Amino acid sequence: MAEVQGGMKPSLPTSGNGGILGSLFPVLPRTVLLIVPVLFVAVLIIGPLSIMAAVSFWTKTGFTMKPDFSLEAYRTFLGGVRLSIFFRSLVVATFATLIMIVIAYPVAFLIARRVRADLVRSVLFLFSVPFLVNYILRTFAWTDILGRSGWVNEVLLWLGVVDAPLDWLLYSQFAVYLGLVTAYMPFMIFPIWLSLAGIDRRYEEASWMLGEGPLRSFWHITLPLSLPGVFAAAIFGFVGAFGEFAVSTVLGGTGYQLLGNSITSALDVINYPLAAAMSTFTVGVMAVLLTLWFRAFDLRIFLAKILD
Amino acid sequence: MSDEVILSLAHLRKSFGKVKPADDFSIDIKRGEFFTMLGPSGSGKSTILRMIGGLETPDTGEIRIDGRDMTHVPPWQRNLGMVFQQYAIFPHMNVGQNVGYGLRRSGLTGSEARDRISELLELVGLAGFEKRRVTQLSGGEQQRVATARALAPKPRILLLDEPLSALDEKIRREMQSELRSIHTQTGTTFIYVTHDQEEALTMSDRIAVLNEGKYVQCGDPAEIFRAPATPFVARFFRGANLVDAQMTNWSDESIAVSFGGGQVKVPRRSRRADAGQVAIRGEALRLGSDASTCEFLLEATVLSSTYRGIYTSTDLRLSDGQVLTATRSGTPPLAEEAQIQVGMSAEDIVVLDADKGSISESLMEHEPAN
Repeated sequence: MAEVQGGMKPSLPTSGNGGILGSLFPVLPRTVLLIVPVLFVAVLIIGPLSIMAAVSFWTKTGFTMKPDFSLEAYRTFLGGVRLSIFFRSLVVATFATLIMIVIAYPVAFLIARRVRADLVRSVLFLFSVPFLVNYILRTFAWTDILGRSGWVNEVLLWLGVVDAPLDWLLYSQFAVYLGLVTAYMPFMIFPIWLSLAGIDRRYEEASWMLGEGPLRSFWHITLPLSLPGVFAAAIFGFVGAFGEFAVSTVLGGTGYQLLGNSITSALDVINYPLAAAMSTFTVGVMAVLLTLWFRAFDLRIFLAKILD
Repeated sequence: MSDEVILSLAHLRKSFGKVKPADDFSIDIKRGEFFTMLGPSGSGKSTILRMIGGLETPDTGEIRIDGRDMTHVPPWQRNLGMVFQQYAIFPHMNVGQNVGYGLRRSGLTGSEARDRISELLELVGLAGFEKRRVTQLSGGEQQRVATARALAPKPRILLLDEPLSALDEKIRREMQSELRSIHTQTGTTFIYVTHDQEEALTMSDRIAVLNEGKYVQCGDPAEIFRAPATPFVARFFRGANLVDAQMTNWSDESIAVSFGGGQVKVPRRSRRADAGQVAIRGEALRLGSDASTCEFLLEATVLSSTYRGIYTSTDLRLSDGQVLTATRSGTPPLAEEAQIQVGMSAEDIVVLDADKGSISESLMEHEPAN
C-alpha cells in the first residue's frame, strides 16, 4: 500500500538534488548510525560464533585441546546418540511451538478485540509479570506443584478423582512441554497481538458487506493478515524451546536430555570441540530454517506495518 | 429511476454519548436513485450510512429494504455493497481475488465467476488487471477495484462512504463522472456520502443536506443550490451571500423584504421564513449598466474587485453596511470606492428558515410574530 511505502522512505533528503552539502549531509550521519550497530554485532555475535566454529575443528587431547582441522568432533556427534537427541529437540520444539501458538493466538485475539483500549496496556503488562521472576526459579516451582505430594495431586486426591498420586505430572514429557509452554508462550502473545491490533477493522467489515459472516471473515481476512505476527511469534517460541536445557533438566527427569543438555554434558567432560561442533551444527540448521521461514513469510511486511 | 421505494429509514436515532449522529432521521430512497447525503464532518452522514449497511445498529427506529424490516439483520445478510473511504482492498489478495470475493456465496461456477470479474473490471476501466497485486495500484485504481468488488455480487444498494476524498483533484473529477456513468450503466441504487458540495451537485439525483443527525433540506441539486432552505445550507454552497433583512407584509404568496435601503416583494416559498435572513447567489447580482433592467436596485460602494480568471469577484458595501460579493464573468475589475448600482431579480432573493427543527413538520404552518 502507498502508506507502507511512505513509511519506509528515509526522512532525510536524498542526495542528488541539493548540491554538495545536500548530498554529503545525509550520508555522514547515516553511515555513522549504521557503523556502530554493525561493529557491535560483529564483535559481540559474529566473533564468538567464529571462534566456536573454529574450535569445532580442533582435537581434544586429554584435558585440553589443540588447533587442528579435524572432523572428529562432527563424527562423534553425527554418529552417536547425540544426533537422536538433536532430532528429539527438533520435534519437541516444533510441537511445543504449535501448542504455544494455539494458546497464544486466542489470548492475543481477545486482548486485541475484546479488551477495552485503555486496559490493553495493563493486560499486556500482566503477561510480562512472570518475567520478573527468574525462569529457573519458575521452572523449579513446577516441581512443587506437580510432584507426588504437590498440590495438584493433593487436590485430585482430596476430590477423589484419583486414588493414588499421578506420576506422569512431573519428570515426564508432559512436564517438559508444560515447562516450555509456560516459559516461552508469553513471548508469543506480543507479536501476535501487535499484528492483530494493526489490522484495519474495515477489512473485516468489507468482508461482511460482501456476504461472509464473522467466522468465514476471520478465516479469509483476519487470520491471513495476522500471520506475519504468528510467524514472528513462532520464531521466538521455536528458538527458545530448541535451545532449552533448564526445563528438560528440572522437569524431564533422570536421563531426559534435549539438545541443550547434550551440549552442556559435552562441556562437563571438557570436550570443547564436541560441544562446539554440536553448537555450530545447530546454528547452521537454524540459519537454514530461518532463511526458509523468511523466504516464505516476508517479515518486512510485518515490520512496515509497525513502522507505518 | 422508478418511484418505487427501495430503502426507507424511519425515525432513526443513535447517540454516542453526547453526539447524536442520527436524531429522528427519516427518509425514503427510490430504486435506481443516486442519492447523496451531504454534510460537514460530524453531521452523522457516515454513521447513517453504516446503519443502512448494518455496521451500526440504531438505538431506535426502523430500516426497511424492499419493504422488509432489516433493522437487526447482520450486514452479511443484507446484500448491500459498500465502498469505504480508504477502500479496504484486501492486501493479501490480487485484484481478481478482491473483485471475486463477494462471489463465493453466489453459486457461480469458476468460469462464470471469472467472466463476472472481468466484466466488472471492464466496467470500472481496469480490464485485464486480474493478476495485479493491489500494492501496485494507484489511489484511483484502488478506488475502482473497491467499486468493482462492491458491485460484483449485484447488491440491492451500493453505499459509498466518501469514496473520492483520498484522491487528488484531477482524478477526483474523472472518478465523479465515471461513478455517475457506472450508476447509469448498472441501474443500481447509489447512496453516496460526501462533505464536498461540488461532488454532490455533479453526481446526485437528489441531495439531503445533513446537520447534527437531521436533514436540513432535501431536493434535487439545482433546487438546493438555487434555493437553500436555511443559512446552514446557504453557507454550505460557496458563493451565496447571507443578508440580514426585515420581512413585512406576509401573505401566502409573497413577503416584502427590506435591506440595504430598499424594499422588494419576493415570492414566499412555503416556508417559515423566520431566519431574518435572505440568501442571494453572487452570480445573480448585476452591476452598473447591467443592473438597470432589474426589478430591485440598490446603491453600493465597491470595496474591492479581483480578477480570478473565469470570473471577477467584487465586494460591495450596501448603504446599511452589509457586504455582498458579486461574481461576474467576462468583465474587468471595477475601481475601488466607486459608487455603483447593484441589481437583482426578486426571484433570486431566497427567504430563509431558521436553522432549527425539521422543515417537513412546519411547511406552510406558522408565521413568526413580527
